[in-house]
Amino acid sequence: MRPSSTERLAAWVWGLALAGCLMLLASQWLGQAPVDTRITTLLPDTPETPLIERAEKQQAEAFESRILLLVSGPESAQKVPELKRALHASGSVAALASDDPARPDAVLAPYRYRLLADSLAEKNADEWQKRGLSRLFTPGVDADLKKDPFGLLDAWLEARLGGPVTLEDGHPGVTHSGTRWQLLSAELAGSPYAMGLQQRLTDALATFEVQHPELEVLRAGLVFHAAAGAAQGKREITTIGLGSLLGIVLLLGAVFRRPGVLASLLLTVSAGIAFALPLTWWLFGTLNLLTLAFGASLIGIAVDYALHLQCARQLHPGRPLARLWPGLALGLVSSLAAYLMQLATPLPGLHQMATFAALGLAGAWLTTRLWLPLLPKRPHPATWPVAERLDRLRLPQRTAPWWAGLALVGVAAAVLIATRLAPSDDLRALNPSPPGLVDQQRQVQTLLERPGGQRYLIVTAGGQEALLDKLEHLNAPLDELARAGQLGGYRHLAQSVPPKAVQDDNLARVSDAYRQALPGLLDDAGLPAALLETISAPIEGVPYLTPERWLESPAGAADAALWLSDAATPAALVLLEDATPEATQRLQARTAETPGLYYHDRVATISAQFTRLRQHITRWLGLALAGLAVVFIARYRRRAWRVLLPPVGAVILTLGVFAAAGVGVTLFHLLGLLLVLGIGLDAGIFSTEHPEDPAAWLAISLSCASSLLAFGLLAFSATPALHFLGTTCLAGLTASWLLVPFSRGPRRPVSARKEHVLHG
Amino acid sequence: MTLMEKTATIAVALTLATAAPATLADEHSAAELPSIELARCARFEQQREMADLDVTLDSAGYFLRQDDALIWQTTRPVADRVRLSPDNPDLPRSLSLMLPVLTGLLDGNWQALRQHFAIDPAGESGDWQARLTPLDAAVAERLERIDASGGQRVERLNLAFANGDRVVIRLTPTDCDTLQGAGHP
Repeated sequence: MRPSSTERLAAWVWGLALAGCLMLLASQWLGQAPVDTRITTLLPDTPETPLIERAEKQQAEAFESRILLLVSGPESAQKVPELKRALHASGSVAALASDDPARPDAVLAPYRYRLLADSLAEKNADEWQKRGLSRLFTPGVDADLKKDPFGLLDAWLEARLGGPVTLEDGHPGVTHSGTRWQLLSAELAGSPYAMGLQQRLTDALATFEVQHPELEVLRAGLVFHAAAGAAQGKREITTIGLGSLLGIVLLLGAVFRRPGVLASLLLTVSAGIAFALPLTWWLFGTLNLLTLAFGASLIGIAVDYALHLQCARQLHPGRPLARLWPGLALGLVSSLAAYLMQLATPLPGLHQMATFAALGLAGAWLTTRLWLPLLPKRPHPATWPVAERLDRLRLPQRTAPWWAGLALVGVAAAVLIATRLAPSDDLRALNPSPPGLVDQQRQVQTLLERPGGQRYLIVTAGGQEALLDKLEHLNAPLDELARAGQLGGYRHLAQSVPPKAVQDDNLARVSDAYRQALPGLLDDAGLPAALLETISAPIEGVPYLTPERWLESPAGAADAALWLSDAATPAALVLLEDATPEATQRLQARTAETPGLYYHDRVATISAQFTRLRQHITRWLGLALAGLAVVFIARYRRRAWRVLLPPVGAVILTLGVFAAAGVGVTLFHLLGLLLVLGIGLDAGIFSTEHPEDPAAWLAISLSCASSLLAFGLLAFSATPALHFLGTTCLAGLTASWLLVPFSRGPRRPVSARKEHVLHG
Repeated sequence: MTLMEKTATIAVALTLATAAPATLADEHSAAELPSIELARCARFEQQREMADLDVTLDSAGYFLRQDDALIWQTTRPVADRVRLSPDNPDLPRSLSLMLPVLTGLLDGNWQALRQHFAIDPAGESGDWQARLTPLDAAVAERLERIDASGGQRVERLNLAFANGDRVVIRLTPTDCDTLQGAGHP
């Protein structure tokens, strides 16, 4: 049948629209429109959002190109230089920071009289005097009687830079439970995401470990996780990716035997993405890569439309295509309803994903509707026997035992879901890094007593001095939590740079101590009293230590991530170590009542975000299904259950399998279920619209099989998120396909079939 | 040479044999380092010259070993007792750098000292001198050099600090049991 002039015009208009979209995409690409990978952009905006983003950025800059290695075992101190040489030779490392530790004493010397360690502040005049004498008589101490008779600087450095790292025979390291760990910290020579650098670094370390099996090496640093992720991705692209691509091409090739048909399927999905990508980018101003990844997998449903059309054209070249349009339209409407309902949620991330998926489906549908009918029909004789053989897979005339079996399975699944199914929002379960590496990172952080930067307070104030004051005032409540064992510890800039008022207080106390303890010290040591004036001279006109002075020094550079002074509102971070839930609660209560104080827990925020996403998706999906059920009842009356059985049944069976296996349902399982639901709905609609048509059943089977190959194979991925998506698709799509024969019912008598085909 | 010293010398020689020829001079001097008996305790007299104040401070006392630590007891001009040990948190940071140097010197443990100093020995076994120049930048920033001398044991140490200060320590062997405030093994 020749297409009408209206159809031709519509095809042209659609072609122009797509060309426009491609031009828009090109301009976005060339204009470097923003692309985002930050999870925070998926969250609803709050007053502290920009602050959190600044904090995260600064933390990333401070830490991402650093690595920490701890080495223990027999004669580790002697073997570490070999590792250093290997790292240098590999070219992956720019500088070994542990070889040239930043010496803060030279920077701080002029300010020492304004920096008073707690240990000294608590001492009385007699104790100051004794400390001064002891320094004079202990060999090896370069007692600087003229500038620092009481060792103010030593006490300050001891308190500030104490930490667990000690020098043993000149080698930095930590000692824990009798084991000595040699410390090696280094700055990478390039980006931690550069594959070449990752390879050279991991090779150098692996070679060292092979040469010294007696040594244990612990690694910490983003680069190791990035390298593990890249290696895993590469492996999986070559196995799972190629495997599924090859499988799909072989499957569709075997059925259709025409490259043109394969190309038309690809065209549909590509047109969908080409339509959705620039429009979503334009609507939201930025494109989040997470949205893109999951949106693209949902657009995978779009291949259904083209499959149904092509199967009908190949098997019944003589029949008008018009009989397909209601089913295709309903398929699109049902998927759009499921996705567009997500726009009702308050979560920007979900909006973007839903928009992207809905636009993609619409684009693919329009391509199928407007373009594919214009392509020449060249059915291959091999397609019909495949469809005929497949069509033998139907329920026998005596359906009762089959229904009884299905009911039993359904009830078992429902019971399991009701009693055992649990959600899981534990972010750790989604960590794509190998557990061994995560464990090493944690060990290094524990041994070095460094907070992981996962949890912090953000403090803002009108000015720099006010900000330091505010930080200083947090010491009391934080110390209280630490003393109660509820908080491991904390770090902020006012610990290194006290506010001016505190520096003034310190200087006053030091002056007092000089007046009270110095005469006695000189007298006891047998030194002339005339020295009193010379030694007291430096405490006059002492400059203030400022954040700028400290942060620009090599020793202070480590604190750079704590100070966000670049923007209009000065802000600072208080990094928190492990905190009990009670401590977290108290801190949150404090932030609620203090203006300009915010609590941020990266892991908890993302976990909470996942929980909200999961709940919202579930709720709105339920509503969408209820709405769709009404539509189906309106069209199919008593046959509406046939539409709903494959999608809803597949979801129930899949959740039943998860409950039986004790798998916690994550956001990624749910995204897999969205896909299962979309494909199941299409299957239900077409098996109800055309129950006797082998072409519909072939299209449904090909759709399930190709989606299984595309997504089900992800079950073998070692990346948890993809694995969850894959297992869901594997179970869900299989269940969906197995339920279609129930929807179709047993073969009808020939007379009824003829009549149906006639009217179908 | 004691067995330990021999082993150490062989170990040093083996290490150097694989290193560049420029370090061969060290190999000779390694062989010539005098063996020194470990002193469990000794009396000391110490002179600290403070360059910037142009004064000298004299003190005296004794040291003794207690487990892994060295007790440095000053008796004159005032009583002062310091426990020199890596696990003593009250010690100044600068001293934690110097501690292995100090104990290495008193023990005559050349092998330990070699990790931190270029050692230039002279004289013979019963009457030797050695000049130690720091290898670590961190130590060199504070300590210019150490001159040590003695016979069976270390008898005199002269520490020259980077700021011009000098500490001279003279050690005399003594009967450990007669020292007050014993507590030593």
